[in-house]
Amino acid sequence: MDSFGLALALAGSAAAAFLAGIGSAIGIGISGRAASGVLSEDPEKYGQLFVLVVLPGTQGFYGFLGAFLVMLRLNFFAGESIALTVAQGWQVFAACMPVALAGLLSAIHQGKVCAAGIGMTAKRPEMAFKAGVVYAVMVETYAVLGLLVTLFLLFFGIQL
Amino acid sequence: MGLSRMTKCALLVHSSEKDSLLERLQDEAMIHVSDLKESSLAKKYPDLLSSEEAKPRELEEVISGLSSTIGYLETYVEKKGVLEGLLGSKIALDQDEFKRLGREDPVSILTECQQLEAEEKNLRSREANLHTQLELLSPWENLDVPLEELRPTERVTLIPGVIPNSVLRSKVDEIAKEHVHIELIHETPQGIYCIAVYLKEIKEKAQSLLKEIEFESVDLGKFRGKPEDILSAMKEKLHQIEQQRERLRSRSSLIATELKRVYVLYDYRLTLLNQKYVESSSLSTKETLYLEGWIRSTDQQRLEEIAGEFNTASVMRVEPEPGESPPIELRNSRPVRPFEMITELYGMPKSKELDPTPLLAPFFAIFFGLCLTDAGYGVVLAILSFILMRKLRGGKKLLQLLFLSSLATVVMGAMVGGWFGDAFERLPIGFLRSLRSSFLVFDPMKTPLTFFGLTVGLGVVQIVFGFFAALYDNLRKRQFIAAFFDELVWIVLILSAVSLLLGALKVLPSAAFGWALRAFGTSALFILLFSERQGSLVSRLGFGAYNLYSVIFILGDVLSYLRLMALGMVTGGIAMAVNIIAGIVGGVPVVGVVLAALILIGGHLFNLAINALGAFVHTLRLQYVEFFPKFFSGGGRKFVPFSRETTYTLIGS
Repeated sequence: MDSFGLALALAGSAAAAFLAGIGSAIGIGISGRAASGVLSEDPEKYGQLFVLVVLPGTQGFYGFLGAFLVMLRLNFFAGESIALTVAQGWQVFAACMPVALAGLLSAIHQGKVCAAGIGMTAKRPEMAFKAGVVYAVMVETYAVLGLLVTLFLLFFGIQL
Repeated sequence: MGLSRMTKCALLVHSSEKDSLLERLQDEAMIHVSDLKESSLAKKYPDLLSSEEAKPRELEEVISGLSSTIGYLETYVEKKGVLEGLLGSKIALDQDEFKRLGREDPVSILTECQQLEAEEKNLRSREANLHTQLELLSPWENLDVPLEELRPTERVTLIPGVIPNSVLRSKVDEIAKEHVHIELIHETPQGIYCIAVYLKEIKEKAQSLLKEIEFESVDLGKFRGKPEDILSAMKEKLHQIEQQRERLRSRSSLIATELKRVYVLYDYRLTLLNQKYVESSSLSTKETLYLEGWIRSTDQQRLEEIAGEFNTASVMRVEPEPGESPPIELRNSRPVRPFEMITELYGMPKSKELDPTPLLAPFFAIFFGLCLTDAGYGVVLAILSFILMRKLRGGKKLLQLLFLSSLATVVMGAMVGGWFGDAFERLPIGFLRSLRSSFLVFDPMKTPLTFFGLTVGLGVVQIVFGFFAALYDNLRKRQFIAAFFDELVWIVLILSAVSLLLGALKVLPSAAFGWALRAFGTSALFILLFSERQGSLVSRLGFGAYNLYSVIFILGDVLSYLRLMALGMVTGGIAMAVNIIAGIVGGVPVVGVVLAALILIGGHLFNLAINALGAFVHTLRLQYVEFFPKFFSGGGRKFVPFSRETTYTLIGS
C-alpha cells in the first residue's frame, strides 16, 4: 500500500471540509454582523433575517459531505481502507477541489449578498424573500454545482 | 382556481350614521377602500377632500401612549417561552367582548403607568447620581477628618488628590525636602489617594513639583463631615431607593396583570384609527360621507343588505377610474391554498393574468420532497407542522405548506429508500428492511445517474409546462399568432431536442430520430423567421437569431434543476454520517448508548432543519427564476379588505 496516495486522498478530503467550512464561517460572519446591526434597531425582524444569516452556512455542509463521501468511498468505516496508488490519490484530491474551492469562495460572496439583503430588509421587509433570499440562492447555485461535480468524480471518475 | 371577480362600488351615508357604517364594514372585512385623493372626482371637487385638521391626532397620541405603556408593563411580566414567542400567541376573544373592553377609558391606566414610569426614571437617575458620588468618596473612607476642614488656611494650602501608582516613592520623598508634603491616605490599583500640603508662599514652585509627580487634584468641596459618615448616609439612601423601587415594582407588576386589558384597549383604538383613515381617504361634505371601493362580485348583495340596515346609506355600482385595474384576490381550492403564499411573496398577478398558484403547487411539493428525500424526515416534519398547526391560531399558510410538502417528502424519500439516512439498513430489524425495500425505486448512492435523469427530466417537464401555461393564456386572450410562434414552436423545439438526446442515448428507436430532427429544424427555422414579428426584415432576422441562441438559456434552466439531486444527496449523506458517528460512539461501554441516542436525535433534527431550509429556498428559486418567467410577470395589487388589523388580539365572530 502506497501511503503517499492515501495521504493525498486524505488531504483532498480534509481540504473539502475545511475550505468550504472556512468559507461558511466567513460568510455567516458577514451576514451575522449585518443582522445584529439591524436587530439592534428592530428586534421584531429576527425571524425574517434568520434565513438570510444562515444561508452561507450550507457550503460548509457541502464540504463536509464531500469529505465524508471520500471516507465512505475509501472504506474508512469498514475498518480496512482501500490501498491507493499515487495517481489514485491525486484523482481523489482533484475530485475534492470543486466543492472545496467553489464552497470557499461562494460562501464568502453569499455572505456579502446576504448582508446587503439584510440591509434591504431593514427598509423594505417585503423584499426579504423575493430579492434577498433569491439572490443569495443564485450565488449558492455554484457551490451546489461544485458539490455535484465532486459527487460525480468520486462515484464515476475514480478508478479504484 | 383563479382570481376573484371584483366589482367597484360606492357608498353614500349621512354623517350621523357614518361611524356605525364604517364599523359595520370593518367587521365584515369585505371592501377594499380606494383612496380618492387622486381620483377624478376629487380633482373636479377639491373641497370634498378631508382637510389637514381632520386628522385624528388625539387618537394617535392615545395609541402611542398605550404602546409605550405596553412596553413598560411588558418588562414586568414573565418572558414568553421561545416557542410561544415564535408562534406569537395572541389573545383570543369574541367581537362583543372586544368592543366592550375596548370602549373603556384608557386614561386612568395610562396616567398611572406614566406616573410610575416617571417615578422609576427619577429613582434610577438619583441612584446613578449617588453611585458616582460613592465612587468619588470611597477611597477617602480612612480619612478621619471632616472634609470641610481640608480647606486652605491663612498660610497653608491643602489639596486632596491622586497620584499614579507608577510614580516612585523616592520622588515623593524628594519633593518633601522642597517643603511640599504628601500625606498618603489610601492606595488603590487606580492610584494613590493623598493630600498635598504646602505653604502658600511657595505656591508656584509647589505646583510645578506636583506636576512632576503627576498629582491630580480631586474636588471634594461639596461634601461636609467625615467621609465615613457621609458614605454610610449615602448607603442608607441607596437602600431606601432600592426599597422604593421594590414598592414601585410590585405596583407595576400588579398593573401588569391587567396587561391583557391594555392590549385590548390598544387594539380597539387601532381599529378606530383605521376607520378614521378610511374616512380621510374618502370624500365628505358637511352632512355626508362618500367612499368608493372594490368588493368581490359575489359580495354585492351582502353589501346592499348591510346598507339596508342603515336609514341613510346607499350603495351604487361605479365604473373604475380610467386605467385602474381591480385589486387581486387569489381563489383556490383548499389543498392549493397554502401555496398562495409563494405567489404572494413574488407579487400578485395582474388582473388579466393567470394565477400561477395551482400550476406551481404540485411542483413545489415534489421538489421540496426531492431536496429532502428522506421519508423519516418527512414523517417528523409532517408531525411537527401538524402539531404547530393545531396550536397556532391565525396565519397558518406556511405550516400547511410545510405539511403538504412533507407528505411529498415521505413519498420521495420512500422512493429512494431514505429513512433517517441509511438507518433502516443498519438496524438489524428485518421488518424495517423489508419496508424500505418494498417502496424502494432506486438508490441514489448506487445509481446516481437515475437521480440525475429524474431531476433533469422534471426540469424539462416544468419548463415545458410553463410554456403550455403561456400558450393557454394567449389562447384565452385570443392571441393565436403569439400562441403559435412564441409558445407552440418553442415547445416543439424543446421536446424535439429532448427526443434527439434520447435518440442519441439509444433510448428512443432510430426511426423517431429522423422525425425529431425534422421537428427540431422546422421549429428552429420558425423561431429564426417569426419570433420577432415587427420591424425591418434585417432586424427581424437579427432578433430571431438571438432568440434562437437563447435556447442555451433554456438548457441552463434545465440544468438548474440538478440542485434537487445535489440537495437530496446532501440530506442522505449527512444523515448517514450521523448514523455512522452514532454507531461508533455506541460502542463505548456504559454511556455509549446514551451518547449515541443524543447524537442521533440532535444530529437528525439539525440535519432536518438545515436541509428543510435549503429545500424551501432552492425550491422557491426554481419557481421564481426558472418557472415564472415563462408565463408570469406579476405586479398586481393585493385585495386588502378594510378590516380590523390587530396586534395583540385575535377576534372570533
